[in-house]
Amino acid sequence: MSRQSSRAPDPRKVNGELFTLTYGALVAQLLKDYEDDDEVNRQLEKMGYNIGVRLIEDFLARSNVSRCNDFRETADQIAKVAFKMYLGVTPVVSNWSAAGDEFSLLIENNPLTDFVELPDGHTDLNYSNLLCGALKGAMEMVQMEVDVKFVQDQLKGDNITELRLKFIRRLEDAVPAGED
Amino acid sequence: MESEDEEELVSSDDNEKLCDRSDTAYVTNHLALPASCRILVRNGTCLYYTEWNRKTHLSMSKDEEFKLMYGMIFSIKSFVSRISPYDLKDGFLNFKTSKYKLHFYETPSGLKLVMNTDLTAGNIRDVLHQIYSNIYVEYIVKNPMCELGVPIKSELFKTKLDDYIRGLSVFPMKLS
Repeated sequence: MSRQSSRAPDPRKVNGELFTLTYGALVAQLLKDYEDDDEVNRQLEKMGYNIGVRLIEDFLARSNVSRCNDFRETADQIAKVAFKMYLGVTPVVSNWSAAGDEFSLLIENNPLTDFVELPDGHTDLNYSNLLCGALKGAMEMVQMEVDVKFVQDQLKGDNITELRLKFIRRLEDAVPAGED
Repeated sequence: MESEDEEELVSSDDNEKLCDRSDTAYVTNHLALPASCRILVRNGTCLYYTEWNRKTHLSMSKDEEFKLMYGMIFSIKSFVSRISPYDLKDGFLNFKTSKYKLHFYETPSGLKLVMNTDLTAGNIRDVLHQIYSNIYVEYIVKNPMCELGVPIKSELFKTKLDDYIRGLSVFPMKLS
């Protein structure tokens, strides 16, 4: 333990509260600018997407995982490795569809929503919609098109925050010119 | 002085050999470890190309060469995965000709790194992974000014990559 305290702090890590508050300020500003919940959701998803396409490279570089064999393995990687690495929480993977192409991530304590209370009149706002975009962007970079959306949100009085991921299709390598 | 002489000697030898096999589509030198390195993305764009001890150049343009390279990598990859009796984990890693060895590393995100070396090089998968994780991710992905998927212009990336390759124990000092 003593050795740990003498070590310089990891420059990649940032204080959790600062992170939460920064995100809150971002969402609040978007609400002021767009004045429309749906538009804010869209903007958050877009931002998340742009984060995701870069974040996946960092994830691959750091975790050194190879390609997943099936969607279940992908789900485990997202929950146990990626969420742990970037948000410090481990969501529970559950509610698999019969076909195995859809699952839910149940997040007990979403770090983005610490200190947050949704004011009245924002029932359509998905406060943490950035996560959806980030997942979508990251998955797209590993050749999987997925649909991500919030099903339940603790901010709206639900018991748990639930993110639903649906596999849509695999994206293939571009075929070089002149080949079939 | 001595080392310079040696380099000249070998390279002229190399040129001579090349003359009578000018029909070969893709030839690189067999002198020193890394001859050339390129980074390709999924759609076949060459993001970055650099060379160290490549002694011969083809008459075709670089663009043409990149297209050929992408086409070949694509074909070999699909060939390898089709004839493999097992489910592939890593897939195609490298191949060797009598003159050079081509190493291939692909990240799950579809980024392809190709490096040509001489025949003495062993497995340099680690080197390619290092280039990806410590150089590409650090200086391109994490740099908001660098757009992804377009050719890399970053000077920082260029220097870091060059430093890294020259720092490798296998890189022959006398030839650099």
